[in-house]
Amino acid sequence: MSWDDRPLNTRVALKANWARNFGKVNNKVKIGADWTADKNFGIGKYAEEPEKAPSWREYRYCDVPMMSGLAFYAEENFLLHTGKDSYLNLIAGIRNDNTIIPGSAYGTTSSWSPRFNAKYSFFTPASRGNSVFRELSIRAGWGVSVKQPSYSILYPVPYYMDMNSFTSTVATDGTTYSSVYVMPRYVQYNADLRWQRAQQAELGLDVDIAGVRIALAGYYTRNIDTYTSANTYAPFTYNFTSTGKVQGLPIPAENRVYSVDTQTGIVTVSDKTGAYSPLTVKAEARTKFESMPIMTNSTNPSTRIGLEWVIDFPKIKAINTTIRLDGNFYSSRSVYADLQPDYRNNATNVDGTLYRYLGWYYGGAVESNGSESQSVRNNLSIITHIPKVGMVISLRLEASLHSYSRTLSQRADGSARSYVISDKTDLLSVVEDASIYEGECWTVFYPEYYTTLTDPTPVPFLEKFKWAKANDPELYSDLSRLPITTTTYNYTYLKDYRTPTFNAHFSVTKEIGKIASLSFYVNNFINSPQRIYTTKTKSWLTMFPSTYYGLTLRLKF
Amino acid sequence: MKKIISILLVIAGISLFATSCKKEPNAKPVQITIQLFCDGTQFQTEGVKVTLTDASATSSYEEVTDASGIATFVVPVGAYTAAAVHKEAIDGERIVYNGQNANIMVSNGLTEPFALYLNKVVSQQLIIKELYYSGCPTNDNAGSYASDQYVIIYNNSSDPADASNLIFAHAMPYMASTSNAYYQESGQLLYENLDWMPAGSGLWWFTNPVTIEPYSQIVVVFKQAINHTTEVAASVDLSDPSYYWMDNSGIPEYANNKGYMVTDAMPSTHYLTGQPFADTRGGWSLGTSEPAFYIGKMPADQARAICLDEEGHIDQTLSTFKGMWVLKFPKECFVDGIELFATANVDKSQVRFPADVNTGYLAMTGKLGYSAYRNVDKEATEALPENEGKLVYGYAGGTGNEEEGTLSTDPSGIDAEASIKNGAHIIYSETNNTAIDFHQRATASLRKN
Repeated sequence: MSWDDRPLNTRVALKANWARNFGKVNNKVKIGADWTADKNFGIGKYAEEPEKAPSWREYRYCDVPMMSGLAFYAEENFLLHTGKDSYLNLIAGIRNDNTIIPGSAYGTTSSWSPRFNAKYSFFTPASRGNSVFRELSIRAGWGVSVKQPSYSILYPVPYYMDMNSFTSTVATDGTTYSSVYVMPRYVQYNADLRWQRAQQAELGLDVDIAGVRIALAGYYTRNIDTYTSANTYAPFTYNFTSTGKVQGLPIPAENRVYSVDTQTGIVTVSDKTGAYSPLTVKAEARTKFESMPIMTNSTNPSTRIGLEWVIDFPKIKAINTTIRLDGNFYSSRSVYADLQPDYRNNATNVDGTLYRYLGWYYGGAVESNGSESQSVRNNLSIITHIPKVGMVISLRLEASLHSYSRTLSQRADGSARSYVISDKTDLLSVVEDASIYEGECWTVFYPEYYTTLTDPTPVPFLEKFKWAKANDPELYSDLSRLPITTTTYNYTYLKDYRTPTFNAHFSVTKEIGKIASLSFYVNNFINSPQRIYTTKTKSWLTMFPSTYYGLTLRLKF
Repeated sequence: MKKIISILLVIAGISLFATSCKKEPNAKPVQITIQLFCDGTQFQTEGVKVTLTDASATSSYEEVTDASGIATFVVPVGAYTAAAVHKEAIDGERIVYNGQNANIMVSNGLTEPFALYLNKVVSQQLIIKELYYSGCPTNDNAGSYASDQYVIIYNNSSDPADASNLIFAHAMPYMASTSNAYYQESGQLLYENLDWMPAGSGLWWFTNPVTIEPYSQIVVVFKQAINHTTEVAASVDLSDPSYYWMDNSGIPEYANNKGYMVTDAMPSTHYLTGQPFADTRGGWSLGTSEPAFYIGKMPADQARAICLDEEGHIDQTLSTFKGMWVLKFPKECFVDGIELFATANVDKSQVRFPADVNTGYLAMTGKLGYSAYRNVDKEATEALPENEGKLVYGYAGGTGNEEEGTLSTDPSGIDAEASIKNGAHIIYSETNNTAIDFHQRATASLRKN
């Protein structure tokens, strides 16, 4: 296979600024517009010898419409001097993004992202001299950023499911015939799809105490309508002809001509000598659920909170060195709460027919539907300037001081989704009043209900499953494929705390006159394995950080 | 003269008297019974031949047991050795009962039967004779071709063997050199002392009754039962209608299988079917580098039932990914197996069979048309009276050489295929140790060119 990839990405940006002072007011207005266009003039992946790749379908990039983006934004920056050295600064902005793809089922998509920031500075170093408190300001911000669907959702790429529907026996000359049922698939259009957005709020404090500048910021982010891949299912029937059905037909194998009805899949065998009449081969109707992907929105928001700090110490003038301490605390939590169907593809019922049950799962057909995590990182940067030789040497030490994570399986309200079982081979051996978070355990997660190929009426799963165990072994065996278990590891839901890790980076920059600078850097220069203990598996892991080094040349014009 | 004649007559008379007065042994026969035992209980089997041999080994007597396992003899008083050998073929198992008692003291007035304890030795009738799995070079030697995999199942006994309930499987993981989560910290396999062993992908079985005649074989083709030599000269012709073929195309779970084909000449009654339990849409096929292949015995409906019993029979130790699920195959149903390593990966390979079913391994070099071929049981084969003058020696079909320490050959020296063509009956080695039972054969036995 070969590639013909010829992308062309274009961008035009216009921006205008207007600034004016009105007495104690400094006012700045900014407006702008961006236009982007992406198009590929190649034909993508293709087979140089198509006869050797009969099942390959081209997706020609050049036939795909151009994706254009048009954005407008405006920002008002208002600063009011409230005292000798104090001021109030208000910034309000709005951005409008539009995505245009001709032929997209979603048409032209548009979104608005507002934001607002406010800062009050009580005093600045300029007016404080050598006072202990040299700067104090507080700030707050709020904003909404919208993420529109990607190109693969707005103009989905088709792909194909090929299901084998017939393979003939082989004639003495080696020829054989086969047919496949081709099902085109693509991400379906969802008229109810909402744009994913993140609501962000931030509070900050900047202070200078005896020359030590401290910046603190806390933020809260709430992601709403997160894009989620899902599937829709519908019963699907096709005709299958087994190889054995054509073995031993009266028409000699070397005289056979096979044809397949492209609508029904029924195979007919003809005799090229005409000695025998055409024979229609008996086929078997196979019915199963087939899926089509679709993009939806998660109904349960996820949250992130964090705290960041930067401490800049006064410069050590004797050695021309600055020291900075920076770090952050980060915490996140998400639980997927949507009811999703799932089908056991490539499975059969006890009676040998293709699987007839569709399970509906809270949070999807997965062991875990959420996670939570926390981390604390702290870094030390030491930068030394040596003006006489035009050199800057920097050393950065990074530390991960706290790392916590946990896999979750629960409902949005915190109630149980998975249950502890006492016997890995008994899906109904649930231990009453036991929590999956309380220690090592095996767990089971049941679907809320199931539907069948012939009846879309939801049947509550657990109740029927218990009944089947006592009354219908075949139904029990079939339904036992629907629950999801953790029977390999008994520590899936344990808290995972990890011991601290450290990295060190080093760089040297040399100015070469006024025309260039040369930098040499080494990341992770210690290059020694680090042992990390994880409380989840109660074991030691060995981390082998990679060392990177390089040289950068900057030319100044 | 008269005096001499008189003396001679007297001497003759004395001799006659001496002869007539010599004490003869008690010639009156005595009835004794010999009871057969096995595993601590009476071996109540009729028709077992028991041999009684006197101390000088000049006289022997044979009788058969009655329904109670008792053989009745009428023999002169004296010391004897009793021996019995009995063979049975039950459910494909060849059982030999063998025992001897050298303390049979026959005297008058005996009322209690003598005991003869038999040892039970179970030999499998059906064994893996040859496994051809790793392919051969293409015509231009630029690559390899591996659509021609097959296995030969052989009846290693003198009785017809019922192969109808034979199950075909392979152990997991697919390759011996990959990490194996079944190995515990103790160095033992998780299932070493349990009643199951792993099977991967699916199980296969015949769709119609199959009987294999004594010292005869059947060929089961895994993927393409066609004449491969028309495309690749170094391959084999698998289009013989007497062969059997795994019909992947008929299994609903294998929706995406391609490349499984069969000659029209093969009757559909020779198709095998199966039941997958792991999600492998492309079909069941044996690994081409380091498989651990085995056969078992189980009725088809039972095999299907355990494949579908995810709750009780599926193990996810190796991976929770459905394509790597493992079936807990009952050890009691195991018949024969072969553990194969790749020569280049021996140092990092681990066996997958538990020791109570199979030990050892054979190191193979793949893609060169080699096969794993069973060694001949020299003693048992030479002991068959019908083999007199038919065995061909000087076997040179192995690979490698002794000087380099790479020799892999049949230590019996018997050329089994040539001997079979000569009308001999071959009994193959059965020690349940792959290292002892198999060697790397340079050319697949089905290859004719």
